[in-house]
Amino acid sequence: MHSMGIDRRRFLAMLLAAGGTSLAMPIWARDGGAPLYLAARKREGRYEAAVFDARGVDHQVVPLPDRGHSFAIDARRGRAVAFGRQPGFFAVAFDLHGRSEPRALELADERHFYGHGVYTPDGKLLFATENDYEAGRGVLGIYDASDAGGYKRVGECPTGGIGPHEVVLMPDGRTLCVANGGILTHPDYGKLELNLDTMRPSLAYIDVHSGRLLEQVFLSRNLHRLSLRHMALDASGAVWVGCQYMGPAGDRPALVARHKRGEAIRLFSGPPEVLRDMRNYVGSVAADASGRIIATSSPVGGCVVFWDAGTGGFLRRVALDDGCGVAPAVSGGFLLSSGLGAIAGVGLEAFESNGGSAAGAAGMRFILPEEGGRSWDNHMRKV
Amino acid sequence: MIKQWMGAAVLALAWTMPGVAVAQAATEAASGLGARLAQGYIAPAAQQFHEAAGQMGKALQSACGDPAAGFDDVAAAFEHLVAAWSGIEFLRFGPLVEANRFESIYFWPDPRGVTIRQVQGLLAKPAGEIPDAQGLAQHSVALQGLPALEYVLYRDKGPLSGKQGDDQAAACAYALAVAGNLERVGGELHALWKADGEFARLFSQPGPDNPLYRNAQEVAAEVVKALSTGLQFQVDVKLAPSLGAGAGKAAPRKAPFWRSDLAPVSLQAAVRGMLAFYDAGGYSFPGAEWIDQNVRGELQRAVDQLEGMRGGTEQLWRDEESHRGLVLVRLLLNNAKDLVDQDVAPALGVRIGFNALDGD
Repeated sequence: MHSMGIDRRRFLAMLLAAGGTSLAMPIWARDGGAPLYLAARKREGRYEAAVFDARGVDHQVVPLPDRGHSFAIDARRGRAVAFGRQPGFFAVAFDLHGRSEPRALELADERHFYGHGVYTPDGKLLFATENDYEAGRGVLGIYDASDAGGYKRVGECPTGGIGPHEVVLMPDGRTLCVANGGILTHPDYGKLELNLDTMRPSLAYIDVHSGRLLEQVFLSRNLHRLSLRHMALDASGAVWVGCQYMGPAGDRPALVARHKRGEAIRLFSGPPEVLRDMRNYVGSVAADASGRIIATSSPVGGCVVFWDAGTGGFLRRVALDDGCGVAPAVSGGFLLSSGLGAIAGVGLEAFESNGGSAAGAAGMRFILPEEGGRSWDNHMRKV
Repeated sequence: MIKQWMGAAVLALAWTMPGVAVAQAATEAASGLGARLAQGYIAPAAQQFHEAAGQMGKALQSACGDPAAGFDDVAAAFEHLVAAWSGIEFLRFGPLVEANRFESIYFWPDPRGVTIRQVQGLLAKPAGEIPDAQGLAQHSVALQGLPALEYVLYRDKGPLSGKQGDDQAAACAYALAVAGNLERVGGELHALWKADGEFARLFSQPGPDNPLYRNAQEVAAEVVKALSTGLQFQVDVKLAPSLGAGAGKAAPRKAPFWRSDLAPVSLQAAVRGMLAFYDAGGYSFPGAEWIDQNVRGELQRAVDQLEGMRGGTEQLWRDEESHRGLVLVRLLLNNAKDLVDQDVAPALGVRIGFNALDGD
């Protein structure tokens, strides 16, 4: 294990000392609140993964040894894995209903997690984006997620690039799409970018069963510093990507991309003033329940921008300071979360009126207010 | 575990929280800030780097022309150049991030040893095939800057090793090309930052039509980010990996400029530069003067602590007492960063977000 990796024994001891998972209140005691959402957060100085409902009420809290990031979710079997934020040296598998003790995944030597992963539909395997940091290449770590598998790491396959960030499972259930962000890092230096001059981000489609690279698409050379990072699928099965630009702030490349297999990547920039407000940074991407609206958040710009998945057209923008988590709301629209502790809802009605590009909170209502001791991390996931 | 690298940005917020008086104070503190910093610190510091690179070239020319005269002036010029660079290394926005300038000057850290591999490949060629400064600009950034120059000069059997290598002619030609390249990049930086320079104008005159800075708070956010990430770079990149968990576990070769034993020079010049940069801001914090005293105090103590540290990097990093001194520097700089993030930033109307602070 890398010297900066957490001591696994210490972490396991910590999990046990914390009582494994702690139920904020019994599930049956609440009305209307199924455990619908997952997010990592910092609360009163502690890092944890929270399972909560659409009202922002905690159902379960899993302690984490350091800052968490995103999750692999197996809704059918009621379980998930929380990954550490990159360079992440931990991942914790837990039951969404608190029926069993959380379990720390074993990390291979000279690897760290990037913070994202997916289960296969049959629940037998888990794939996690990882950094083979001495070799400077991205891999998908493969874990045995079957009942008897104990999340043992059973192999890995290359992602065809550097800095694989998010991975999603395509609608066919057998193809993974990986966003290779293109940024070389080494855990000795945290997230410091070591190859800005030679970045080459890509999307890679990989066969779940063979690990074979099926298709890989790149941006044009002049956009080699546009890191492809976070993804969501729309109703048609196209991949939407939120990008982070690592070049000069004065450049204003489009930050939102759509890709369909066999085609080139298409970029959507929206109105210039909206693009400017996104400050060359998208932190999270989600589709609404219908798959027709895409949300992209920019915590750097303090806004969430919505797009028409069919046309790539800009729909509207809402202002949310340090807003980053975006997830589909069950009733339509989206739930948003912020590093300042807020959870907010944006209903479908927000898209029916002529939102224009004016900033503001019109159409957004707070479910949880900003709260000093609580910071939601980048991602909020619907179970 | 070291802190996450602060990759993204800070937020310049329309100040809506603690009341009109604070808002006004923040606006006043930020007003004119860009001009004060550009003229008071950045442009002169960029000019110094430009001139130091020119002196480096001259020292190399005379030493390479007459090897019997020795390379002492080259060593002095290199130290001067490293110090000048370290004084602007933290200005990682605008001109320094455009056109790969940062990487061209300072492709470091380099955990995979790209620089050494590429320089060795180049030196294996006949001297006549070594690119000149202009040609070098078309090569990999790993070949263009200070780490490459340090390697070619200070490696075993390099011109400054005291031993005569058999590739002296190629080494001289290459070192001259690097110095020339650094002089070119330094000249560009200075031209962009000087009083009528293109970027200095943007930085000094925020406004609705300014494509980069729409108001004084956005300039202040850039300033806070530069200071904060500059301090973090010293702590997390230049110090933490090399210091390890104790003198016995130190890894001196992860320190900056370890071959030339200029790691303390690089650290001290960087902290001095950030202190001067802070001074040039001319901040006042009515009712909270302690902020100013503490920021200056921590940075000055770090400068003082580094003052006496000269000698071999290996020895300094492995010796219990000097290792303790370096750990103290790390603590002081960490404190300074916390002050910048938690106290200076809000006083300038800048809020640092949990996610915006640390992009992912």
